[in-house]
Formats: sequence, C-alpha cells, structure tokens
Amino acid sequence: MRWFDKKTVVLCVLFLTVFLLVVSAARLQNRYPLMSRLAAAVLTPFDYVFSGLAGGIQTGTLFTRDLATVYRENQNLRAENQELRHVVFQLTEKAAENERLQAMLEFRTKTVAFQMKAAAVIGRDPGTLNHSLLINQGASDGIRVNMPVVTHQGLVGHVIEVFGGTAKVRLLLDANSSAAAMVQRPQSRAVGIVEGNPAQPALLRMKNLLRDSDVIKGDKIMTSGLGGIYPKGLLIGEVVDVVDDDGGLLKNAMIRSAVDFSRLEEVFVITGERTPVRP
Amino acid sequence: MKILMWLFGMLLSVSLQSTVIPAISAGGVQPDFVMVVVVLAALTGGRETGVLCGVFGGLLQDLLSVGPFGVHTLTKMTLGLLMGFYERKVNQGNLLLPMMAIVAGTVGSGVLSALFLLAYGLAGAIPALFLRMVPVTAYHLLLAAPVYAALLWLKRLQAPKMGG
Repeated sequence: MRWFDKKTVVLCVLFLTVFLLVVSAARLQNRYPLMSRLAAAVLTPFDYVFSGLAGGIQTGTLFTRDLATVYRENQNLRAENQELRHVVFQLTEKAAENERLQAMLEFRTKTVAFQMKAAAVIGRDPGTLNHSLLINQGASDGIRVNMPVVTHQGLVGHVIEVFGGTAKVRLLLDANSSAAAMVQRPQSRAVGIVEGNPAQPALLRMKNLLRDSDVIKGDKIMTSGLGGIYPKGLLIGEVVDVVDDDGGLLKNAMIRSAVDFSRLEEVFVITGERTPVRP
Repeated sequence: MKILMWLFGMLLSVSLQSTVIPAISAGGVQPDFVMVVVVLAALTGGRETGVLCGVFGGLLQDLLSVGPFGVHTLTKMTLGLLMGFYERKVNQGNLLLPMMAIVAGTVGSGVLSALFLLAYGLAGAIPALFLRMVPVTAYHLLLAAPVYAALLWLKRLQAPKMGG
C-alpha cells in the first residue's frame, strides 16, 4: 500500500491548514457569530423534528417502567393490558404535561416581581463537555443576552446568545457558569460564588466561603443579586456536603441543584422586573 | 453529490447529538454520536471522507457549543484522517475492526480533547473526560453497530452509480 502518494500529501497539507486556522481562531477567541447563526438556522428544523422523537423516547422510557410495574401487579389482566397500553401512554403523557404546565403556571402567578416569557426547550448542547440549551424564543420575542432563565423549581442559567427565533442558554451546571449566591437561613446569610463542577457534573460547587462561615448540610442556597445577571432570591439548590479548600482559609459547599436539568422541557426567561429593586 | 450526501449525514448527526442523544443518556454520561459517525465514515469511505466528515461535524459542534472553539473540529478531523488510513484493512461487513476502532477512537478522542483543553488552559475539565471514558465507550459500541450497518448500506447503494 502506498501511504505517501500525491493524494495523501494533499490531504495532509489540507489537514494542517485547517488545524492551523482553527488553532489561530481559538487563540483569538473568535466565535464566528455569523457562522453560528447560520449553523443554528440550518439545524433548527432538524432539531424541531428530532426533539419530538427525543420527547417520545423519554416518555416511552417512563411508560415502559410504569408498564413493568403494572405487569407484575396484574399478570392475570395481560390481555386487557394490551388494549390499555395505548390509552395509558396517552394519559401518562397528558398528565405529565398537565402537571408540568400547572406547576409552571402557579410559579408564574406567584412570582409577581418579574416579567417572564415562557419558552420550550428544543435542543441541547451537541458537545459533550458543556451544558447549554436551545429555546424557541429569540430576539424577535424580546429575549436578550444575559437574561436569567428559571423554572418553578429554581434557577436554570442565563441567555448567552440570541438568534431570530431561538436563543442559547448556558446552564448553571456548565463549568464556565457562575452566580453570586448566599445561604437562605437567616442565622447564616453566608455569601459565595456558585459554579459548575466538571469533576462531579451532577453537583454544583459554592466557593469562596470563609472557613468559619455558617454553612451546613440541608441549607438552601439562593442568588444574592450581587453578580449583575441574576436578581436576588432565586433558588439554586441545597447543600449536600461541605469540604475544606486545600488552601486553608476557605471552604466549598457541594450543592444539589433544585432543577432537574435532564428533564427540562419548558422554562421561563426573566425579561424584566415589575417592581425595581431599591437600594 | 457524494460529498453533499456526507455533509447532509453529518448535519443529521449533529442534530441527533443535540436532541435524541441526551434523551438516551444515563447518569450524566452522554455518548459522542458525531465521533462514532466520523470514525465509521472514515473506515468505510477512506481518509478524504473521514477528514471531510470530521471537519464539518466538528465545526458544527464547535459553532453550536459554548465550549472552547476548535476542540471538536480538531479532534474529529484528526480521528477522521487517522481512521481513514485503515479503510482498506477493514473486511466490510465484519464488525470486529470497526468495534476496535470505536474503542481506539473514544480513547483517542479523550486524549486529543485533553491535549487541546490543556493547550487552551482549561485543565479543570480534563478529569471528567477520563472518569466517564468506560461508560462512554460502552455507549459508543452500542451505537456503532447500527451506524456501521447504515453506512455500509449507503456505500452499496452508491456503488453501481459510481461506475468504479
């Protein structure tokens, strides 16, 4: 086999050219917003189609689990079950949707301080290193960069890129994400920074806590309003562990997020405050 | 026409990666479907196809991801080129070598990503890459069989039209 024929040399030169171009683009931190928009625009129709399929898979997974339980409990009703499967499938999906939307509606009704816009999740980060979402509300709907994104469970993240009819949201789980936070307990009110934790992707980390800060397991953590992006009082999660920092003066709190990021289907984007926060 | 078909395939792969793949991930472990397609495309179509799919698929991932720009492009392009050299060694239809290539590709992808992240000063994300390597490899092996079968089918479909 000839490994170094003319074709191979041309391919290697092409390879090196692309390599050098990408490396130089990365060093300049050039994100090519126009190309990003174009790529998002091309992929959005496919994402819409496949997100329906993904929803079906998730619902199907839940449905299969439910069926397994029903099957064990009702072996003598197998024949009837066949007929009921389809009905249960549809009812389960409707009930789940109803429950979700009701919770979102209650949250919106109770949260009068903020103006919010509902959005559906239509895609997730195609990379495996980062955590972001694509939502179906964009610049034409009044969405702007840095707007906080929440659900009835708590803080989800913030908008980092806006297209015509869609927007990209960086999740709080992402390693590059951070939010000024504080302990909700009145006796503590310790402040710190909550960020993504690449070593344990399922947990968040609250850093910059003084060693003698009053932080214990079970403490609720919320935004402090100091960072400039997130308003005060949005629930982030609950402390599950407190560990001393290697340096000696500080400690970290490991936080389980209040939001189940793997099952996000609808979110709210906070577009403004009804009652401006007075100093 | 053949190039357009590959580009369209990668477009679908990236879309699946951002929509369907998260739905079948478990325990925070998410397979890299685009990498699986690039490795197997290189094995069935050769190094030119490998590099083409790697550059296009990786570039789309980089453009749509919030991570450091270039990691996906460089990793997939390199894998596409290296795996393409083994095209003629593969007994088309036998799954053993493609499966071995997927394992090597997963490890290689992890190492290359780690090197690029290190070069970008983002060493903090590296441990997570290797902690998840075993379950991710298992996921990739599961995805490989249907993807490889689909690529072989497409190749056979094209063969008479190519005219040798």
